Amino acid sequence: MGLENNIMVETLSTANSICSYLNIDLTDLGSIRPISKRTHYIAALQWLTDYIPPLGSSNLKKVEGYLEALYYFAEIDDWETAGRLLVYPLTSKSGSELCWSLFKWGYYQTLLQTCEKLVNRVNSNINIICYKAIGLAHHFSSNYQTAISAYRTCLSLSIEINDQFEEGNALGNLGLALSAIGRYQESIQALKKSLAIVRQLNDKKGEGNVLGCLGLVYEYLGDHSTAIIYHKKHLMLAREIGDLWEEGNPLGNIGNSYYGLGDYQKAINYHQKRLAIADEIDDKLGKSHALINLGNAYRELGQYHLAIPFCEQGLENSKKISDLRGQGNAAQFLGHTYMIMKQFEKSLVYLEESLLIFQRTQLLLNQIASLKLLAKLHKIQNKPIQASQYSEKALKLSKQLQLPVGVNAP
Amino acid sequence: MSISYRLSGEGYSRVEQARKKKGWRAQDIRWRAEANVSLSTLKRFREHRVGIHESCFSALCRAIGIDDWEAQAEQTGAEKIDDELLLSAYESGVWVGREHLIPPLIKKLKEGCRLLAVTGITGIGKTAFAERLLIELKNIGILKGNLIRENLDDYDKDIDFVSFATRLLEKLEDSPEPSDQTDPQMLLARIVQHLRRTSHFIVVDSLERLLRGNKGENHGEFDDEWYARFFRAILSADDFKSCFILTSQDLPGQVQEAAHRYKNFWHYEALSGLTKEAQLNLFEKVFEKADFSLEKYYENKAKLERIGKAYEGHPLALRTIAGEIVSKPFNGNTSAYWHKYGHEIEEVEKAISEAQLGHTTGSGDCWQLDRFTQTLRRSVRNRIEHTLARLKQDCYWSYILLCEASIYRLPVLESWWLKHLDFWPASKMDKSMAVDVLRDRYLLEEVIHDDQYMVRLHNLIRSVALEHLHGLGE
Repeated sequence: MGLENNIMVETLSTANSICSYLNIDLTDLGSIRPISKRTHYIAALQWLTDYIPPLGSSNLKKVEGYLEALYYFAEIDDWETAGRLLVYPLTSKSGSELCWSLFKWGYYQTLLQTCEKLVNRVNSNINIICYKAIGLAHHFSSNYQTAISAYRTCLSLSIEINDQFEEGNALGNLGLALSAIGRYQESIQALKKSLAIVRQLNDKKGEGNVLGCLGLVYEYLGDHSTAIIYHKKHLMLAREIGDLWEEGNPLGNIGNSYYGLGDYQKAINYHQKRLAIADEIDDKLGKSHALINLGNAYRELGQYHLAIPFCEQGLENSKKISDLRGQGNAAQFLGHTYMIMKQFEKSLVYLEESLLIFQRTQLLLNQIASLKLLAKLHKIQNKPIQASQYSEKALKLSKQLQLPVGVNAP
Repeated sequence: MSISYRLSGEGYSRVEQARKKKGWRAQDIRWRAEANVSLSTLKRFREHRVGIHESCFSALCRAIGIDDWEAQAEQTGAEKIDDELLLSAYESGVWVGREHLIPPLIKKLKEGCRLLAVTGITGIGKTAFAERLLIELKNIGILKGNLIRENLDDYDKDIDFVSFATRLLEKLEDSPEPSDQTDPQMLLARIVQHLRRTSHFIVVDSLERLLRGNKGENHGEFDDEWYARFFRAILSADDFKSCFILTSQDLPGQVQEAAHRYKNFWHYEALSGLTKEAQLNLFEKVFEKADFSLEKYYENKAKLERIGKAYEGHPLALRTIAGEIVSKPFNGNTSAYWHKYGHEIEEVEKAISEAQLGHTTGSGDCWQLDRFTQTLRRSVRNRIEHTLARLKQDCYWSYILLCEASIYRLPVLESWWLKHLDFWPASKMDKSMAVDVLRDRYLLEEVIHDDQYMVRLHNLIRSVALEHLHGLGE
């Protein structure tokens, strides 16, 4: 899940609508005792109904009113109301609840602190949401072990209250986190369990997502053919649902797997399909990824005159939407291409840039790939000392990830 | 955004002349009635720091017989000093006595000082001092649009290093959204890298919030060790174009240790109370602002001197006392005030002098120094306690408002505070008076926050008022 920028929070609710959502009786406010408790409620309501974020403020600032109100409810132990606020839908779109919006915008620390405050305070449903959010926040901050333990709690809670939807979800997240630290077999197990549940629930979208995750794990394992099977199933489901937004990811993933197999022409075909869809629905993230991957595949075919402009265009696009992963990939692919073209100085600039970006975003697998390329670049230029330094760093990271021998970083 | 106007320097003199000619007081009710504006608008108009709406501006001018209001006005635009500097504590009207400390600091900053800490006990005026420094830096053209302010007190939530550094980076890189970065080492490196190349002034207020409490080992040290590494990295960098200005009640041991090795890059200014002269100057300004003739002030100069000395020139304590003296029922009569509350001052004199005796004879004994500051701190807190007790007696609704308002951790609109009085049997008149009394007694601070005029309480006042709120009972 990437960062979604520019999500607008709909204008703040009127006093009545938010109060009825939160089950607060405005006519009753005056009689609340002790007085300091009433004061907390009034302050919370001020923040909920009268706060107007300044023009051009960040997403966090836009929801400051809700967060302050939540603080006041928690201060007076009104956990019920605090819990409701945590899942208050900011827009009519699903997934726009306060907590999930914080997650999408990347405010993991704020999300963590809010959920840690509320966990085990309200009811099982809120507990599941909190543990899921805590897991995701850690997952995206690359604290995989902590994420895994939160997902496991989430899993057992959902089994306890027989919530199959959340159970499937928890297993899916668990599978992804396990794959991130190289525990591929456990990861596949969890994902397959998750798959069985989403199928039973007839949740096509969920099923597609799990299939996509399975494909990715096999891809990490270097088993490109199996990966392609899963991604194609994902694609079929997406077409069944008829949602073009869902089609983009499997198309791109299939393209990457064909790239892994060395079938560059097929890879190009799929990335081009993805590009066309992204243009049609104005999916900016999808577009930049498609461009970058096309560039990458053209390089392998020796068509540098295409490889470079595609990657450059992709880099430009990902900068516009602050997609760091895309920027890192584009820089890495450009560095790789210039290395082959023997333009070593340019190559070095791009590869170092890509390494820096992947360090910033803690994308370890991508870091390894950049390090290996840097090692190669120095080796070609007859700089064995620097080359071995980069190799060592790559090796150290691989060990840290417990990557099986022979597995290549994407 | 609509255009707003403020008085130009000349305009201000012209308005003051016209007002005096009419025989009106600075905040005369007739003036407000004639122009149909609120007291706070009139105050803003006279302080000419921020702009007010055209209709109010012209009405206020016409009310005192100035028809060419446009000649007195300047449009407030990009060059507005206050907005840009985000002043929160500095009030030009009553800031006194520390002018002489500014030039040496400017010199140090010009010579490459990277870390400037302003320390002192709560209410001593650290933030206002830092802001005065910013104004000077702006006036001499060193500071231009490269200011970043971070008030650690505004963020009850995220003061761990990663959150702090992320916020700082967002501001440095001018991106409104956070990056995915959570590795403190990387964040540290990126910030230092940035500040080595670009020149920024970064003001961090209330650094003491990062320090461990006074229990257990290593108290007074950074709770999050990354802060120590961060400041060490700033001091030890080969080159550095930026400067951090820190305000804090205490200075962390880790910084002092590191600073010892980099004396040229580091300076700390410990603010103590105002000098005798400055104390009197402060009283004088409060009298003047409240529009009392200075005769009243001179009549009892000796008493005021004694009050100033008792509180070691602590500005917050003195301002609240002065605020009481110029308000009802004393109306500027210092003798009457002394008659009623002189015993309190005498008690403080006694406590402080006892503590000071230990302090001066104790040959640099740390414990004695602590005892002295603790006594002063306690006296100042007691002072706020007394002020609240009296407010409760004299202006009940202002007292209630102060207690209710203490709930807010961030600056908010005045109307939010007043909303709380809706739940009390206060009349409309009571409500509008309640805020004015708090303002006149220097119990609230007006700041520009999120591009709006907002109110908030000084930390110390807030913490005392919060206790009172919980004691309001049924």
